[in-house]
Amino acid sequence: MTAPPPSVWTTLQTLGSSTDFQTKVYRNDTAGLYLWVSYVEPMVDMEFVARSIFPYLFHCPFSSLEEIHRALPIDDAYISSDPNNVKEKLLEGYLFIRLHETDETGLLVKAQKTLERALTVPEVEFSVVGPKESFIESLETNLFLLRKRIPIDRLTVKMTTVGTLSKTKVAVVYIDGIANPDNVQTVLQRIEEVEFDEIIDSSYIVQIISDNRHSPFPQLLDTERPDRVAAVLAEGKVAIMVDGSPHVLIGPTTLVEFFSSFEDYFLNWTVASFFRLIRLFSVTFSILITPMYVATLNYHYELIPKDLLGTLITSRREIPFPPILEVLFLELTIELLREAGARLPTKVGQTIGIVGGIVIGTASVEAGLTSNVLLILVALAALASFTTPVYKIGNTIRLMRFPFILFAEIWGLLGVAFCFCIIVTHLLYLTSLGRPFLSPLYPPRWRDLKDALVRLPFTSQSKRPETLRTEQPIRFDGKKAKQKRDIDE
Amino acid sequence: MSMRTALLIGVTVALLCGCVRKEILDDINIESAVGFDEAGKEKIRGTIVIPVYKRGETANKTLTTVSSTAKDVLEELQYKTSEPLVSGSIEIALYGKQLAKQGIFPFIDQFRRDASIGTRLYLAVVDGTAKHLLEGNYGRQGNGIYLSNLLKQNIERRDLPKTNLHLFLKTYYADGKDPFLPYIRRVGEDVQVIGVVLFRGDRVVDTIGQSDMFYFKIVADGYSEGTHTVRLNNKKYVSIKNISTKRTISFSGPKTRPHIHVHIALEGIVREYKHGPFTSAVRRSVEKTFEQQIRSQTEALLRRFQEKQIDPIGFGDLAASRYRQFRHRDFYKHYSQLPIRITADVTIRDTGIIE
Repeated sequence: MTAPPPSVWTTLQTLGSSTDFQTKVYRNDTAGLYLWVSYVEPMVDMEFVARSIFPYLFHCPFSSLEEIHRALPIDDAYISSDPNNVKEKLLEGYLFIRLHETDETGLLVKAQKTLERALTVPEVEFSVVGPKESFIESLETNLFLLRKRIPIDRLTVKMTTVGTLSKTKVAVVYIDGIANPDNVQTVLQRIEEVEFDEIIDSSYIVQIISDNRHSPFPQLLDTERPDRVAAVLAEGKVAIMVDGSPHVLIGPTTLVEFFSSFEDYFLNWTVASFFRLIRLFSVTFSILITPMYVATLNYHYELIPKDLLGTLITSRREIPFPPILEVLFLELTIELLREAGARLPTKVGQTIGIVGGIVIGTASVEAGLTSNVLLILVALAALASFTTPVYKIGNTIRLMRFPFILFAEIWGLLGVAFCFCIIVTHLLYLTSLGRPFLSPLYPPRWRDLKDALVRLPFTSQSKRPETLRTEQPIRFDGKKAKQKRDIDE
Repeated sequence: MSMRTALLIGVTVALLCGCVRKEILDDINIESAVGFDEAGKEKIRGTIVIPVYKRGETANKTLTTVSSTAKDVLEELQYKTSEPLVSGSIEIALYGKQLAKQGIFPFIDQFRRDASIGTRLYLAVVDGTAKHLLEGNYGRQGNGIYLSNLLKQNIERRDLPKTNLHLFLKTYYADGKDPFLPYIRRVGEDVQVIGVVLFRGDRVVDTIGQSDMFYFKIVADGYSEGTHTVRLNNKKYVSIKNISTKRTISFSGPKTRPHIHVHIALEGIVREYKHGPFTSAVRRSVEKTFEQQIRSQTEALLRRFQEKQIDPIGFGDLAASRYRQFRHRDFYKHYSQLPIRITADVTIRDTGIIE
């Protein structure tokens, strides 16, 4: 025995088990007809319905659905008898109008409620100079923000739906003729193949479609800045926008891109390059300083400069723990503070800062649990890890420190070197949408170094990144850009 | 990374973690200076200094013992300390004059083999005993740092020629050069550089006093930053600061008996002259007198080296780089009779700001 094929009637019956599904009967006096109007109440903008749909439904003389369709001043309306389509549309916020209760055919009219917050200032990637708008949860608004910046016909949007339950709309955006079709194809294919029920945010997508899902390094850059997305699309990258997520994914990306703040492009290239180098230095410092402390104090006293020896020994003398416990104690304290600060509301968060910074820090030194030299190093390392412009890589860096500390404890500097080798090997192996993650450092793309560790002036940026293999490698005429065309010269 | 690789790395790490001995900074005694003296027949007295760090200043703890071999001296001191003695941070090694006359190489060998000791370790010979010198209390950073800074300062800014463990070993093993080391002495609660000791092999054979160090450094290092006082004929004195020195050594004639020509070009500025205006006539006479002094003093110095059959300047090595198929043995056979000609060219660049 097979189940009867679903009909519109049974679909409506199924929906009817939920109390927010309504079917109401209205009478059109002019035509002397009854109208059955079904809708899912929370999804429908009732004010809009009362203002723009009901006046036509009740006061126009008509005898068929076609006539109603013609009379209504609403674009998104059509007659359907496909039960699946009816169900989907009802859940999106359409009205379903029938002339008889048992009719299998009805008119679907869009009366969707749209609630979205206003555009705000980017909070994670705030910049002092430059545009102040950021993406929000609505995909339409986000696409609007993007199209406004790239008003050309070649900006292509490919929409798909992922998630068996969430039916999340995902848009793959790229500039046709610039982005490498292979990259676009890779993204589209991977999104098609997503097997998941409830996609809440773009960070779900990035974890599912990453080249290496177990790597602590994020392999797609996420940003909340429309200007940044527009800029990288022009470079030939591909953006993935997810409905309901204010963060847009960009790929293929490279490790160095995670250390470039978009503000780098708003400042003069000398200043921007300096800031970028500072950031790279601080990241290295942040990862290596506490492992170095453990390694030198445990194994390599002879490497400590003679003038520093006294300072270190006096600060360490009262400490009952070996360096490794001391370091883990302080590092974990800092992690606790960060985690507590992230969970608590802003007002209480400040208190945590004071408790952590002053009370725990100074008290643990006075109690003789940690040395004050180490306290300074750990605090600096924590500070340095927050200089990364992309939030996700900052987390990775804080995590990286711990294997380094353990190896430093076991083998000293040899262990640090060993751990470094493991991580570099991993990075060499890593790809982003199939493109090398460590480029332009390795494989060396000398030309791409113009915008990697330093950012050279815009006149030198006339070519698109080599590693992206774009369809159109030239951005603009570099020679022309370098000419000075002032009249007085 | 496959499961097997991960497991392999994990096992390796676990098995090898005991292979390096931990030396936690505050649980070890870090030697900062060592000294060796002769102590009777076939016996050696070893002295070490351990800095005791306190807030603001550093005190010195001196340990000493007598033993029969060089390595044992420092090993026996382990019996006297509660925490292991480590030698990676030694700043300076001192040798008593008596010991230095018998040869110091056995007491340098261990530094050469220890990977934790840098080759920039300073070595020096003490007038008297190293123990007596190390038992003093100098400076606020401890004896080791004080002594190494003393030598460093005198090498970089004054007339002490450059020496350290690396240079000592290099010249010790070189066929055409002999080592030299600083010569220091304890004066009350201070330490003073009193000259340079010259070695043949690893034994001290001669000493250069303070007054000759300036000339020695010019010829040996080809460089000096010190201030030198020139005494003019009319009993006037002028103090000259040396700003640039260029020393050229050239050889002519047959390779077994070459003529050696040492040319010294020196530029200096006047530091002090209190006998009226420094006219060009005075300048010329100062230049001439200084040139004359450099010539005679250097010549006396080099003649002394020839008589003692030592070559701290390294004429042998320099000649070897000029001649093909050079044999050091032939060269040193006639070394003491080689004619050495010295020329000097002194230029006074500046006489001061206010005339």
